[in-house]
Amino acid sequence: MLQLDIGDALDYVKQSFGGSPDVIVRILQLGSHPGVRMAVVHIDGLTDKGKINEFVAQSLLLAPSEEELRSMDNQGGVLEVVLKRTSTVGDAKACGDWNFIMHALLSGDIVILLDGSGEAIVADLRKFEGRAVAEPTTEVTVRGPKDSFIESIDANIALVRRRLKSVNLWLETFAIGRISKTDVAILYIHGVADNLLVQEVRNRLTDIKIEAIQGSGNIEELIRDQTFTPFPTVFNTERPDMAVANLLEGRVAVIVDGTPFILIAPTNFSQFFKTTEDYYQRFDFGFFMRIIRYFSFFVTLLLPSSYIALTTFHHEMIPTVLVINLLAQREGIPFPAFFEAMLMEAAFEIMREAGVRMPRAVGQAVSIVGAIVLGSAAVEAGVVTAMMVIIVSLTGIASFATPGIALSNAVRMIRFPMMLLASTFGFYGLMMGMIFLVAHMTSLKSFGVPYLYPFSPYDPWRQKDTIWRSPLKTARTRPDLTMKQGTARGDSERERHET
Amino acid sequence: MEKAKISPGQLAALIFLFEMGTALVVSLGLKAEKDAWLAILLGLAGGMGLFGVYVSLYRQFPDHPLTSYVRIILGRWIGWPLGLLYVLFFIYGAARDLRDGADLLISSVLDQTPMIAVSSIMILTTGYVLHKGIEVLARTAQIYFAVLIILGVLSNFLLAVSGVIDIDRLLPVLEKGWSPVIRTTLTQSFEFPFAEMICFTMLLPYLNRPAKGIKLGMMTLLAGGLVLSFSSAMDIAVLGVDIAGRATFPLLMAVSLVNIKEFIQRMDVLVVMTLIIGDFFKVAVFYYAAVQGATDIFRIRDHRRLVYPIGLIILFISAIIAANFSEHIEEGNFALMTVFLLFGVVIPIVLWGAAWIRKALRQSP
Repeated sequence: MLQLDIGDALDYVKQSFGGSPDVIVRILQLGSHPGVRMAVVHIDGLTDKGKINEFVAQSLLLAPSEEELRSMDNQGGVLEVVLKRTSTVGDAKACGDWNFIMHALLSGDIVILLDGSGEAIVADLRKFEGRAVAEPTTEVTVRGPKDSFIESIDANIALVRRRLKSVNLWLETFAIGRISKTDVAILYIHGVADNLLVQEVRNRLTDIKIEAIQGSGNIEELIRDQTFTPFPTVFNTERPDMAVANLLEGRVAVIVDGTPFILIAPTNFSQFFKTTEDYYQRFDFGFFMRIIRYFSFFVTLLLPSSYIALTTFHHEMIPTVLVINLLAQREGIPFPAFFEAMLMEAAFEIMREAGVRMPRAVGQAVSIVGAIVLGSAAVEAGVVTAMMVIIVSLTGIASFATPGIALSNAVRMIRFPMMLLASTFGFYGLMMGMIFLVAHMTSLKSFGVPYLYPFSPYDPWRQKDTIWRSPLKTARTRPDLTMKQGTARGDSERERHET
Repeated sequence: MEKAKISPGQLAALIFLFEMGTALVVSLGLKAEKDAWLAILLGLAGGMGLFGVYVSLYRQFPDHPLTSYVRIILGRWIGWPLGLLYVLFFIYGAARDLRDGADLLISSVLDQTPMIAVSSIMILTTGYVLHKGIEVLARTAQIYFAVLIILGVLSNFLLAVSGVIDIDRLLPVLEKGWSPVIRTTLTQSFEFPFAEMICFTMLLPYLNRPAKGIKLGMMTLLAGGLVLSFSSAMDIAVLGVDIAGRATFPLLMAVSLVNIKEFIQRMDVLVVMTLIIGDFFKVAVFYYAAVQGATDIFRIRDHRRLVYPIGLIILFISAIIAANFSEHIEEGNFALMTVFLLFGVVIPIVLWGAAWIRKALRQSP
């Protein structure tokens, strides 16, 4: 119950907000002799001012009709009359709980307090203010839709709904963050997404204890399975078509207000090599592109370290003519191959980081100076070999060919320990590093789904959309990614899929 | 026992990698000279029978590893010490394979690196994987099974294209009659690697579909034996029996002869990679069997607590087991005829017999 006296109620509101001037209160009178006093409260900037003025003038300030006057005499009749009038703006409800009212106020609703009534009316007059839907900035395609998610959660949900006109597209919302109360929505297709998976996502979201959520990255960190791993176990995308494709495969999307990147779970290793473009292009070309991506993944991971291993331990493997050439190059270089590689890789990482943080206008200058001038000058000065510049540039370029940036970042980090292993143990060190890495990845899970699935546990029926992209006509069955009911956590059902 | 399950495909991958392990690169069966491949085939036949014994024991005790059904069959007073001996045997096996791998690496590519460093990296990685559990080991095996197949196909293709294979070097078959073949089979190619399969008695209880798993396991064993026999024949066809017989690692030598247009040459690294993968899984399976056995006989709740201590023991044993490589090989030949024969063949067959008698006694009141 709220305070019966409207003055007390308004005092309470003002006190709660510490007298912040953006809390706007308008006191009105409904009817005369004696009439009822009421107050319209809203927060400046979150609500649509034009609409409020219109609404107040056209709905609230009208003189009450005979019928209304009669019903106003009844117990609680005033509330009923005002509620009926408020209905013209849509989505209005009566409420007697200050917590709820405050949350609504902060979300951009207007609140109508009535004198002598224990309840207030909450109505949605939110202003939709934000960026217009634009082209995706991180996941670019040549052929395919050019829209991307934006910061507003409502607009993002609408982008998905527009593509899936199904009543089975279900939505649940949460407010996460003790202070920020950020709107977070989970989205899934009922009947396609595994119920236990949805329950698991729900549980992990409600278990979150934090003061504020700034972006979907925070949520990702708080709901993922393992914390101590460089590999991403939650997928994120800014493309609505990608989100829809994943929902259709039975995954759950988590949309966080204020972030254009939505989260998708569960995920696995092979997903980071897929783009929606694979399906917009011919299937054989899609397959070709995927091979290129996997190949460049291994280039990023292993090229510098293999080069170090070859030049430090296994000269005999290099063809004779080339080895003579390489040795001639290395003659004046003061550093061992490992140090040389570290120097260049570090320089590359610095350029890359600077390129991201730089103001746009000078970004180009950095890349030109970095790539061309620095590289060739280093070779001419005899600090590094030309071969090393080639290796490092190729590694750098290859790292951009992985569509999933989160995975590409992981690999960027892992290549440094790989280089160290290669310089101490040659190919043996590399092999051990790779075994370690694969074992680590097989031990990872994303919402109960093994990370390397379907490579390991190997599932022959799922191979038609991992590296190989089969023609759409043959894709009759839904990829069983979430490994069916009962497997979000347990292992019992999974056996069915293993061979 | 861990709460884990492995699928038939994963078991098969483990069996294949285990069998390839070190057997692929060392001079297996070459005491039978040109008929090494035949000796391996005979060994395989024996190995299949032996695996049948292991499987039969597993069928009678589907929920128990070897170390616990010895206690059921022979009673606590004989069974428990025997279980302990098996743990020691597994540790010894792991140490031997670790040493094999380290020695090969040192003699082929890492001649400046101290052995203990090479072994430490291997045992650390193995320990990490086992710490994550048998499921992770089995899934990792699945990936490296594919890698091994690719490496094998590639090396054979390169050898074939280089034109160094001469089938005539394998002829005539049975030049000196059957006796050297049978002697080699009995003293070497039966125990190694087939009697070592005793490790899998510790893993079989994890199978999620026993019937299919055993069938697939048998088939993989057969396929692995055929591959070993093939590669042994290949070594001789490439190098000739003299060189192959004297080489410590004939496969390494054979593949190093690859030369295509002076561009693709010295592909030894493919063999080294094969060895690293195979050796890794062989050490890992022995190591896991030891951890599993110790967990079982000492009734420890979490196998992870034993992983690193046992790893440390394996590392030290592998370092002090022999002063140099020749000694290691000599000891190996002796151990094959004694330790491996006893633990891999004699005891399991005795157990098998005892289990049958026990069953017969139970049924006739």
